Amino acid sequence: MSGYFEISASWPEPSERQADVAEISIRLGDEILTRIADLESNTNREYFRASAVSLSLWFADNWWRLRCEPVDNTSLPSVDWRMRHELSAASGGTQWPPVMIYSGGDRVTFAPSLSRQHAAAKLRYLDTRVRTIQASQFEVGIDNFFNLVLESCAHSNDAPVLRELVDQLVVERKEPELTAWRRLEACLGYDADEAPSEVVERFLAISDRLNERDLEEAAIAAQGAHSADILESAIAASEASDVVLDFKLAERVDLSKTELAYPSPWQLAELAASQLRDGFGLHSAPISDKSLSDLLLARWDDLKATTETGRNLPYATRLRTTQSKQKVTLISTRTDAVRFEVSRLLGDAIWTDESAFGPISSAKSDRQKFQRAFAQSFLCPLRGVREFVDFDNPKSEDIRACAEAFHVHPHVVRNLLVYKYVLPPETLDDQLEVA
Amino acid sequence: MKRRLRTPPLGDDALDALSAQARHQPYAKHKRNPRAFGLEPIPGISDDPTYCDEHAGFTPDDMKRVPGLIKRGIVAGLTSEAEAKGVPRLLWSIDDNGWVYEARLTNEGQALYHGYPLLPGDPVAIKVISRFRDWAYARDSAVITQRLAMTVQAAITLADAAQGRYGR
Repeated sequence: MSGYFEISASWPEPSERQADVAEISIRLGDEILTRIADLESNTNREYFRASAVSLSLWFADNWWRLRCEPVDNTSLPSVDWRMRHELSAASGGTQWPPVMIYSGGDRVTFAPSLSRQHAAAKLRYLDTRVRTIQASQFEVGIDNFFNLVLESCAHSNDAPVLRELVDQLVVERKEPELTAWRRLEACLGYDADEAPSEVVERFLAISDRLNERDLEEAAIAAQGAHSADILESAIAASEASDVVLDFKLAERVDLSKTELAYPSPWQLAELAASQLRDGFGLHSAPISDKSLSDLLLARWDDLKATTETGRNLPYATRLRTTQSKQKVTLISTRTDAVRFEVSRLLGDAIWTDESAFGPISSAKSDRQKFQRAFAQSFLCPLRGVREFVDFDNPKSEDIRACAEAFHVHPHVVRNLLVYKYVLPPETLDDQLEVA
Repeated sequence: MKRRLRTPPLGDDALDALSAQARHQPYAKHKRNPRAFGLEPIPGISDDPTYCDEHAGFTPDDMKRVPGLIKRGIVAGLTSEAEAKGVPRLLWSIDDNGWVYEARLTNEGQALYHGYPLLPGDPVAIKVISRFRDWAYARDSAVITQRLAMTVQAAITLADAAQGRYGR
């Protein structure tokens, strides 16, 4: 049964199933990712030809990381990350679609690979725009593909290996403890069974205080062998912090009021910021330092004075102490950056509702995207930007003037204009942030 | 099969033994014009392969260099973690013009491999280049010259050429 996401495969010559040359097409809704211009034959087609078993093995080997790990936390993903997320790594000798797949949390993104394409290739993939689907749709689509290949290629030499991997995945996805372990491994940036057990165990040891999503977000925020050290230090710094903010105003936000069926994080963030601003009568006006701290029942001077709290950490944090009050650590020093960071903390409280802990990092998960977009829209609403910037002719000096008026970095204004397609995304990083 | 370089690489004795054993078996699938290479086209529908000739500019005259390329890759430790009865299932090498080739085991009993170029979008190529460069920097120049009849500088230049082709 096909769903929104489908990988279809057909074998034009049944006798070839032993050699497994399939015509494979990848569809997301009404859109075909695998539209190809074959310059040799001067034709277009909607499939590529490759070993379906090889593709299935790659999906099975990398399932948890595809499902749980966001795009690498830099503008230049590591080769190791690319091997787990780019289709071109599936096997050598085949012209795979130049697509990378990664998770944002509850969504999975298909995006053009960040690697150089061969200019002289006579097979050109025509449409590799950034697209997202629900993670549940991704899982169903991959499961259906596995079943199709196992049924159709039962006599393939690698079929037993594929069957074993798929059966193992079924077990892992059914057992909550195994699932939690695998998800953490993937969020930490490790393949299955390759994360240091001690690191995963230390994360799980905190699970009575932090829920699974908070633990995964912390793992994503600082991947690798030192992640548990960092998380424990972050929690200790939060507990020791004298900076207490009240996020009760997060209760005024109702994200369910979106009119969009599948809103992106920035669209939800814009809604949340708008609800809060209107609720407090702020509308399109700048928010002063004092007003911002007043909203959070804090003193601005205290916020500015205590930026040492998270200075040695790779991410800022909030730690719930009562229903609405939270101890926070900050890692920024410039005033506009502190404002932005505090606003991101508020955004995280909105996104997670009842969550006890929140890292504020440069990671690319949907949760971090929401925080960034919320801070942007809350501090510098588009309605306010319009008073400074002509959308038909956006100029740098107007963007700078707007940023100064709203006491944000010019990138904030620029990003808002990119979200609204007033400015084009300059990099793939921009495109992925908007998705 | 995961396409991973064996880490750490095999020792010199094992690499020498493999180098003496490994043979190349030309495969028509990875030639846009197989007949130019004396190969019969594969009947029926093929997948969308990478082509030695069309993509990497490999010519029939270059075929005589293939044993040297296989040896180059093996000696530099560019063999896979995955094995079949003790024989690496994949080998890699870097051609003089910076193209990275992967060779797949087709007959484990005879250590027969067929090869194809990796396109610039393939992240495995970057791993191969890094391993080759590390090897070139780490090994004694006399050893490199003796084992591969090339200087250290030539090996590093080769790695740079490949990086230029496959890097960002």
